[in-house]
Amino acid sequence: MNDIITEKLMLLTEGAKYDVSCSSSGSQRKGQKGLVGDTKLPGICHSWAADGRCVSLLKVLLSNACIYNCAYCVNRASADFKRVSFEPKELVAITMNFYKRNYIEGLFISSAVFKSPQHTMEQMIEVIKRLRIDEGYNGYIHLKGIPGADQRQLDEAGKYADRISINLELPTEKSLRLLAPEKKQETMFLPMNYLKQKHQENKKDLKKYSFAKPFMPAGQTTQMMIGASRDSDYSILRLSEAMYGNMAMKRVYYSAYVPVVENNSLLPSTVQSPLLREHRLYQADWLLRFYGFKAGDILSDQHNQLDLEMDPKCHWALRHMDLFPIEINKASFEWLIRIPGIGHTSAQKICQARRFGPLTYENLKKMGVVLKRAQYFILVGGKYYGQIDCQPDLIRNQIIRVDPKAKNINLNQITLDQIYPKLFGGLS
Amino acid sequence: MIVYLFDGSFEGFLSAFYDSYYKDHKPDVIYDERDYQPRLTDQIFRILSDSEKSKRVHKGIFDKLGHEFYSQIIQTFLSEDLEGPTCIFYVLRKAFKEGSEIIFDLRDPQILKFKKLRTAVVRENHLMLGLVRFVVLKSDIYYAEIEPTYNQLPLLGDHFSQRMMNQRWVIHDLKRQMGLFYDKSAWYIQPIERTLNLELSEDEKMYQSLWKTFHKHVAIESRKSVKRQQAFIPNKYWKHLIEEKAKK
Repeated sequence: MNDIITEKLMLLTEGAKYDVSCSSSGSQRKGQKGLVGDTKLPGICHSWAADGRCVSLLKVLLSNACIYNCAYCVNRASADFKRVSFEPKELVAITMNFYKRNYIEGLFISSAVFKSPQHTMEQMIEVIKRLRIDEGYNGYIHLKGIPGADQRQLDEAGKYADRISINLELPTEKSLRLLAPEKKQETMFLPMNYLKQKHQENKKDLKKYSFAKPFMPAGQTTQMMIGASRDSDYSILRLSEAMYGNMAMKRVYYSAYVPVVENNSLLPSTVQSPLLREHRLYQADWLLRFYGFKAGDILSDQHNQLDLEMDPKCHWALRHMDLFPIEINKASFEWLIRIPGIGHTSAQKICQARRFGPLTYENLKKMGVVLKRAQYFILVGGKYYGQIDCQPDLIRNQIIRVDPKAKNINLNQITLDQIYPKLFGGLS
Repeated sequence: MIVYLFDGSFEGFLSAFYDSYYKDHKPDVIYDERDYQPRLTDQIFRILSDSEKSKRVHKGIFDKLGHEFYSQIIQTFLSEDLEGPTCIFYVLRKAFKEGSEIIFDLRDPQILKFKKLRTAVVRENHLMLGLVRFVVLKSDIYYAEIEPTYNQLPLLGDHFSQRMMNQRWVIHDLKRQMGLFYDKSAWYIQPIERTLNLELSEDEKMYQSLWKTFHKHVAIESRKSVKRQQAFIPNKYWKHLIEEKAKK
């Protein structure tokens, strides 16, 4: 019995781990007599895996027996490995026992599509229902929505889950057609939109009626794979912008395609700096969400790829040197956070401290404001502290020279046709 | 230098703060008497813990500076830093004179130090919320061992008594030989001096091994980065975790 469970847990973890969503945030629920657990708004990480990613939720598949054959996916139907599924009661027992020992913040339940999307969703709902109703579980639940599930099932899922995510998979319909032919963007957008509306109505109801029960209180997230298809960073960021705007997403996750699936001519066999590109996209994503940037500020149709050598805010600033340098003692919060290297925490510290008197360069250093990049874009008390002229080219070279990330980029450029032999032979 | 010594308790510190207003000699520094290294030039005043005095200071902080300020003082105090009490003393005096806002004036080196001490405690506290690992004992008590850098037990009670409201549990700080106990109604802290009976429940080993399995397999091989893992969980914390640290 023990060995079987161990094997299932191993296989179903292996199958789920490429899903990058990890957070346990967005829900604030107090403990209650008779129930097990609570949730905290910022979420809590419980461990970090050997790849340095945080482990917050028990992230597993209910089953890895997939009927679909998406080219990039480890669980695709044509792959040759052992197919297993959890019995609902097995997964419930593991979740409860892990949670009570403080190993995890909650459950992240995903699944391969077995039999049909509706059937899969039904089984997943069964698990979280048992947790909530039979076990009195009050901790965090993240449920992966299966495109093609019924609306009724989404209604049911939202009652028990804190967060639901439906994956975009790939940034464009064209890439989907190529790599995941059974999936369509429409079947993802429709349920996303439905969930968004339910969530917003529920927010109003919760304010009005005492009997209203929360629906998916931590909102929705989504993710897409980057680097497996030919989409530009600009098209990705525009899509993310729409996701945050129209779909009211809490998060869009990016997952760099690292060649794992061998012998598939549709997929690139090597990808240039995939993790660095992913990192830059996350940086740009943060600019969209917290720094008041638009996708069009960061990139354009002409310049549609992020600069791998430096962060997108820095890149933006160098193209707008007419706005800099900015006086630290006078600039508003909104301008402070536009300075490369200065984030929310630093900007807040600066705004609070300068009320007591002007800040000096030394003050900034001591306060922990990182000046490595910022020094070229600021004035402190009217004085410029960057050691070189305030010229974009000079600054750029200086910044790249000291950045360890930029050094690791392989500058032997590989052309796209080399990477995607069949793709462009057939299409372009 | 004029030195005030107190017994190391928070109550003792507040009593010392109270006395500083009524004694002719204002302190230059305040030390926990257990940490103090005597110097010839020092003029020493030993302050006794007095619950009346400490209550009055407590009330003063709450009424004048607010609840948030009070918890910041506690957090900084729990850093157990040698210079902590002197630093808090300075910040408190200044705040009573000029208002609680002064806490943001990071140009002032003492206030900056106060903030740094506090941040270190709060950061470790957040890490502990995730890293505390309970084992289930035969007696159905959930038991965890920790050895935090700072004195975390007082900052863990509220969190775990919410989360594990219907479980009986103990968090044992081995370094300070103190225990945080919860009996399904309230939490309290008591010294643990004797060895405990730690007989494990029947399925404890099984769940530990399942957790190790999960933790190992959730990592993506091609993204392996021992350095990143290390940055998030410094070496000193692995001893009391169940999962295994990645090997280079």
